[in-house]
Amino acid sequence: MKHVRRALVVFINILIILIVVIFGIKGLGEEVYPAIADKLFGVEGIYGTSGEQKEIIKKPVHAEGREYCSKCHEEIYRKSDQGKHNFDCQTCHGAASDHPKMRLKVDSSREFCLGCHKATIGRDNETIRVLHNWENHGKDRVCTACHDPHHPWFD
Amino acid sequence: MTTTVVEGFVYPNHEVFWGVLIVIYPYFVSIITGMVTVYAIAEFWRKELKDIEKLVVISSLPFVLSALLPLLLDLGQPQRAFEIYLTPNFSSVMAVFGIVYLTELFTLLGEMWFLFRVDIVRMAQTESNKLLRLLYRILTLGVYDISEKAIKLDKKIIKILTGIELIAAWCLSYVSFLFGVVKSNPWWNTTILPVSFVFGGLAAGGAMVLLLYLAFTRAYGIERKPNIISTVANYAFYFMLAAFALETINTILYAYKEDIAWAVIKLASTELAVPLAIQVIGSLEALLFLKYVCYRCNLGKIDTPFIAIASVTILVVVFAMRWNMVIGAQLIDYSLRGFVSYTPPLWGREGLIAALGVLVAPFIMLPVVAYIFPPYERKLRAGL
Repeated sequence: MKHVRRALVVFINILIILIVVIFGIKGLGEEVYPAIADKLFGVEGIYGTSGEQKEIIKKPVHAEGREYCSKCHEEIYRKSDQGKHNFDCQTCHGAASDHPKMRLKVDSSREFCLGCHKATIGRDNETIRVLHNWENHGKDRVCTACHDPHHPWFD
Repeated sequence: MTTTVVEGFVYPNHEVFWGVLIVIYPYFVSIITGMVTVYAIAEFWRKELKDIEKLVVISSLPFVLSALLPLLLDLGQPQRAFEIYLTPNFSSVMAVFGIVYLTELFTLLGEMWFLFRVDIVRMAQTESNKLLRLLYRILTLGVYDISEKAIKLDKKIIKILTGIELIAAWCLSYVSFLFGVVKSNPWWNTTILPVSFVFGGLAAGGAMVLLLYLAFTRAYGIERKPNIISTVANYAFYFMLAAFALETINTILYAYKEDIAWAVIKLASTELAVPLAIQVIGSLEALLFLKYVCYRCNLGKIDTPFIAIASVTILVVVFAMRWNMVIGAQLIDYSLRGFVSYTPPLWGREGLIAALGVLVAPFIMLPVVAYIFPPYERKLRAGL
């Protein structure tokens, strides 16, 4: 009898420690321990979302259309409108948010351009200009050295 | 990841994310399921297996503990492997593993304690090594009561714990088909899969028990009993038969229904030809040997090499089954019109060397556990 009772006490103590650890870490918040369940024993919450995604969700995103950009950058707007690079400015420049106050950054590395223009299975020349010899084409130079990013074709 | 396109149309983002370590994970879990089931059979039905009760319990602990290793190595951030246990949640299939695993671990530890309690009390009084004696003294929890009544109560509690443990162990084996089902390829996305995997696991556990019985009887100088071997081998035979039949039916069905999965047949004949051959030939060989072992044991003769070969074959076959499911499911593209190949790297976190280390880990832990909780009388070993 006595030994069963003692064993139960040990087990319950372990259980209590486990529960305290669970709630303790939960109490520290998502910054300390990301991807922790938002609701125990319930389906609600964003469990399964990574810490990075949660960080992004917290940030206010303020997006604008092409017309917003054209108010000041009229020249660039018209230039890009002539070719196939006439998609949203934010695709490369990032969300507008408080743009005039805040400077926008653009990644001008080769890898950034190749993100769309690299030859991959399922990507054909009909849809997008695929660079088959991307390893040698303009080797060791950034794409913008020759190509104007807003109108990459040579007339 | 080392993935190269082999044939057909493959979507650009297709990659083999789960490597050889994720094959070992359901493999270990299967062995645990099988060993716990053998223990439950001994506890509830077959009284002649009482002899190997302690052996099965102490040897399932290392497997339960090392089932964590593949996850630890597979995940990029090590603390994520432990988050499973600290974030009990039902919204994710994988998160349920934490709850089931902890249930399994605690029932196993409780079972071990109640099963070895008399030994612990005895050793706490007689052990000459001071450190060990202190350990045993702590483990007695200060109660030295080994009266008839207390032992009877222990046995009752062991029965309850075994029941819970059995359910937990069978639930654990869901992770083995989780990896096939999540990919949702028609090959493994079938209702037959859970059943087939539980049976495969039961066979592997039985084989592991047979091998460990051979090893422990040799190490402790105990006489082997033919009826124990014959009973376990018989169970392993029928479990293996069921697993083999179900898996083969499944594969043949998809190879026959060519319209659904062209890639399945192509894969079966090229990329997965070797593991599939191991699965089929090995299963037949193991079945044959097991039945022969049963037959010989019923005559009162023990053919150690045959038992060892049959057990090792089953373990290899079940590993090949897990490989076909985890890796095979990932090789087929969602388009069902193409597949990729997978060759595990030798070095690295997910390489073959790491996988080998994980596979050997329970056998490194086992002597330590067996030293603290000897399944048989220690004196006999000294005499050997």
